Amino acid sequence: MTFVTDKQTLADLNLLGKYKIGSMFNLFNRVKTRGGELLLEEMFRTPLTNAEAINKRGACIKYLQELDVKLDINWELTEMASHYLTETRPANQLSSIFNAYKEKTQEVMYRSQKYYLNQRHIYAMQEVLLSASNLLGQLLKKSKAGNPCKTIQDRLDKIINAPALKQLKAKYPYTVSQTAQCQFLFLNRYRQSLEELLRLLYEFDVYISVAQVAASKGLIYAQADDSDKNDLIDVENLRHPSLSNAIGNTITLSKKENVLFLTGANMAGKSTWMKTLGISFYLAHMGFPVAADSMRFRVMEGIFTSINVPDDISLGWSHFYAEVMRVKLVAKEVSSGKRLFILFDELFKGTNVKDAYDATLVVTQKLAKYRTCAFVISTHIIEVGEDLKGTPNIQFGYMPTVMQGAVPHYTYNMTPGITTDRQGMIIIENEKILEMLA
Amino acid sequence: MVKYLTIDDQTISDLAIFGKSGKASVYDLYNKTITQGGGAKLEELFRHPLSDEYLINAKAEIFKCFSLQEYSFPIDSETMGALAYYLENEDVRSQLQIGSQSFSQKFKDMVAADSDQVFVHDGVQASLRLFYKLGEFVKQMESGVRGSAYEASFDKLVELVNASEFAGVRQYASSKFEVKLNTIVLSELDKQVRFEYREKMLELLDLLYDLDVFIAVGQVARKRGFHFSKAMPKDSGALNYKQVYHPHVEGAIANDLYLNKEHNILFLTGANMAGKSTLMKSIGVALYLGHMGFPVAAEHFEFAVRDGIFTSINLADNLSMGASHYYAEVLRVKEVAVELSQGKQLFVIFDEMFRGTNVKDAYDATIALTKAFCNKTGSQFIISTHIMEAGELLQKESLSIKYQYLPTEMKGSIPVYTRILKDGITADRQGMIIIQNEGILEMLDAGIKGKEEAL
Repeated sequence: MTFVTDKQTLADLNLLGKYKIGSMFNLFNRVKTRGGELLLEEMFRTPLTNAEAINKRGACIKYLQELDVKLDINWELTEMASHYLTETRPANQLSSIFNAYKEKTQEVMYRSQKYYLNQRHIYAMQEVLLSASNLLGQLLKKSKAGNPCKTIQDRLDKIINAPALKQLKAKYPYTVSQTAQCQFLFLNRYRQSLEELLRLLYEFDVYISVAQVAASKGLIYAQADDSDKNDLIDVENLRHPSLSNAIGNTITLSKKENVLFLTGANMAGKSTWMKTLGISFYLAHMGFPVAADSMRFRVMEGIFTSINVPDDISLGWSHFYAEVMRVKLVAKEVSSGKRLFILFDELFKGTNVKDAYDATLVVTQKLAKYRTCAFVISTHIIEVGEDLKGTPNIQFGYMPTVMQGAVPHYTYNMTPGITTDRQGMIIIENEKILEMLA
Repeated sequence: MVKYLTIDDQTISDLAIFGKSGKASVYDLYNKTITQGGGAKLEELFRHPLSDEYLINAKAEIFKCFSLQEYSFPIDSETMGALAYYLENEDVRSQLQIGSQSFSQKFKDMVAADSDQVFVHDGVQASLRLFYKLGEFVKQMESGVRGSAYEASFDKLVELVNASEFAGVRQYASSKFEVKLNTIVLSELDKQVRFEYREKMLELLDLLYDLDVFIAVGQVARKRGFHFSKAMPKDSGALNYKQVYHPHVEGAIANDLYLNKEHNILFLTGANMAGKSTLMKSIGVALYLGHMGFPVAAEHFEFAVRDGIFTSINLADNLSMGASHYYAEVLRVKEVAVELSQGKQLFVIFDEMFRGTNVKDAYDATIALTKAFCNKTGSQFIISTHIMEAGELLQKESLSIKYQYLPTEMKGSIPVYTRILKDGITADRQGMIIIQNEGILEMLDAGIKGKEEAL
C-alpha cells in the first residue's frame, strides 16, 4: 500500500525541492553524503503507511538525537567509494595480484592512470570504514537501554569487525601487493557487505541530519496509530516548522468531528494554519519530527490539498473549472473508500460569490459524510458556515481579526466558532470612499 | 494645450489594448503600418487618446477619407528603414572625402568599399527612390484628397516633395533600384540630404509616417467594415452604441446600449459564460478607440467625450504586498472615487464587483457604491454582479439605473447563450451546473452508500 498524493499537494505544502527556498526537504537536508541526500528524497517521496514502521523510524531518530552522535564523513570520498564498488569483480586472489602488477607496469611504461585511480579508490574506502567505525564507537559508548537502532547498529558492527577488514593495516600509498590484497577484499570477498555498509551509513546520515534539525528547532515525534478507535488527528500547539516564531494551535479531528470549517479574513492566517496541518501530517507519516507539543494520528492512506491553486483570478472562469476538476479528483479518491486527509483553502474562489456559496455548501456537506477521512475547509463566505451549523460532525474555527482603531491586527490563534468580522465594509469605510462620492 | 484621456495600466490591460505574451491586442488589429516610424506613431496614438471632441472629430475625418480610397503606402519598408538609419547619423566625419584621395585610397575603394562609403551610398540611393516614388504617388493621389480633411497635410507633403532644396535629388531620382553616380555627385547629394536640408527631410519622413498610419487604419476600417464614431461635447453625457461587438471574437454578436444623464448606470447580470466580460470589453474598447478618432466595431457610435476611462475587469491581487483580492478591489474603487470627487466625467467598468469577500459584504458594498455612483450623472458606469438581490433592492427605488442581463437558455442540461442583452435582472448561474455535469455529487453519494449499510 502506498501513500497517495499528487504534484499539486507537494507544491502546496512546499515539501520537495533541493533548490526551492523554504522547502521541507531543505529544512531537513543536513546530510553529509550524496547517498543520504537521495535516501532523504526517497523518504519524502514515499511516506509510510504502517504505524509500526512510522513509530520505529521516529524512535530511531529520537534515539540518535538523545545520544547526540555525529557522523564525520567526507562527501567526495564516500561518492568515490560507492563508485568503486561498481568496478569489475576480480575472479580470485591470483587474478587481482596479476592485475595489480599489470597496472603498475602500465603506469611505469606509458603513464596509465589506472593504477593511481585504484589507489585513490582504496584510500576512499578505507576512509569510509574509518568514519563508520567512528560512528559505531560513539553509538556503543553512549548506548542506552531500549535501543531502537539495535538492528542496524548490529549490522554495522558485524561488517566493520569482519576479521580480514579489521586486520587490514595498509596505508596510502600502498605497495603493489597491498593494492592487490585490498582489491580482492573490497571488490570480491566483502563486496556485498560494503555495499550494505554504505546503505547503512546513508540511513544513519539521514537520521542524524533529521535529529540535528529536531534538536535545533525543538521538534517532537508524533505517535502513529493503526486502530480505528482513536482520533484521526490530535495535535497540541502545532506550529509551522519553518517559521521561527510561529503561533501554535490545537485541534482534534475525530470520527465524531472529522471536518474543520475554517473562516477568517484574508490575512488572518488561514492558509498558514492549513499548510501547517498538511505539512505536519505528511512529515509524521514519514516518521519525521513535527513542531508541536504533542501529536497523535491515525495512519492514513494519503493527503490532498488545494491551497495555492494559484491566486490567479485573472484566469477567471477557467480557474473555477480547474478547481472543479480538482474537487472531482478528490471526490473520486474519497468515494473509493480510502482514508484521506483533505485540505481545501478558499474553495471555488474563481467564481462569483453566489456560485461559490452554493458549491462550497453542497460539497462540504457531502464530504463530511466520509467519517474515516479528515477535512479542513476554509472560505471567506461565512454564510456557508451558518448553513452547516446543523451538521454534528463539523467543528468550526476561525482566525480572528482584532481592530485596533482602524488597523486590523491578527492573533493567529484559532478560536472556536465562525468569524463575525465584517471586514468588507470596514475597509470601505476606512478608505472613505462613500464620503468622497457624496 | 491638447487634452488627453486619463487611462492607466489596469485599463490598458483589461481592454487588451497592447498584447502581452502573444494574445491578440487591439493595437495589433490596427497595426498594418509598413514603416517602423509609422508603428511608433500608431503606438503613440494608442498611448494617448484625446479628450477633446474637435480634435477627435478632425482626426476621424482624416481616417474616414483614407477608408474611402484604396491607397497603399508608396514606399517599401526597406527604403524607409534605410532612410531612417541614414538620417540618424549626423557625424560630419562620415561624409565622403573627395579630392584629397590618394592613389592608394582609390585603389582600396576599388577592391573593397569602406563602410562609410557603403553607408552614404545606401542612404543616397534610398533618398533617390523615395523622391521618385513620392513624385508619382502625389500625382496619383491629388484628385482623391482635394477637399478632404487630409488636404492641409497633403499640401505640406507636395510642398516638401517639390521643394527647391531637393532639386538636386529630384534630378537624379529614378525608378531604378540603383542609380549610377560618381563620387562627387554622391558626396554632394549626401551633403544636401543629410546635413543642409536635414530638417526638411525629417519633416518629410514625419509626414510619411503619419500617412502610413492613415493608410493602415483606413485599410482596416474598409476591410473589417468598421464605422466611425462621433464625439459629442462632454456635457451631453450620453453614450449611444448601435450594434457594438468585440473585434477579436469570431462571429461576435452585436448589442445596442444607450446611457445618458437620466440613466447613467448599467446594472448587468448574467451567468459566467453568458458573455458579460466580452460585452463590457467591447463597449470599453469602442469608447477607447472612439477617443482616438479610430473606426470602431459598431454600426453607429456617438459618445460624449470623457475625461477618463477606468476598468476593473481582470484585477490581479498583489499578494506580495500583503493585499488581498478584496483589498485590491477596494483600492481600485477608491482610485475612481478620487477622480470623480475632483469633478471628472468618467466611463467606468466594474466586472464582478467585490468577488473577494463574503456575500453579505459584497451585497452591502455593491448597493452602497451603486447608489453613490447614481449621483454622478455626468459619468457612466457599467457594474456587473451575481448578487441579483442587490439589483432587486435597488430597483425598488427610482434611481438612474438601467437593468439588463445576458440570458442563458437551458437545452437539457447544456446551457446555451444568446449573448443578446435583455431588460431586467437574471439569477442565472452556471457554477452548480458544471459541478453537476461533472457528476461529483453523485460520485460522493455512491461512495457513502455502501459504507452506511456496512455501519
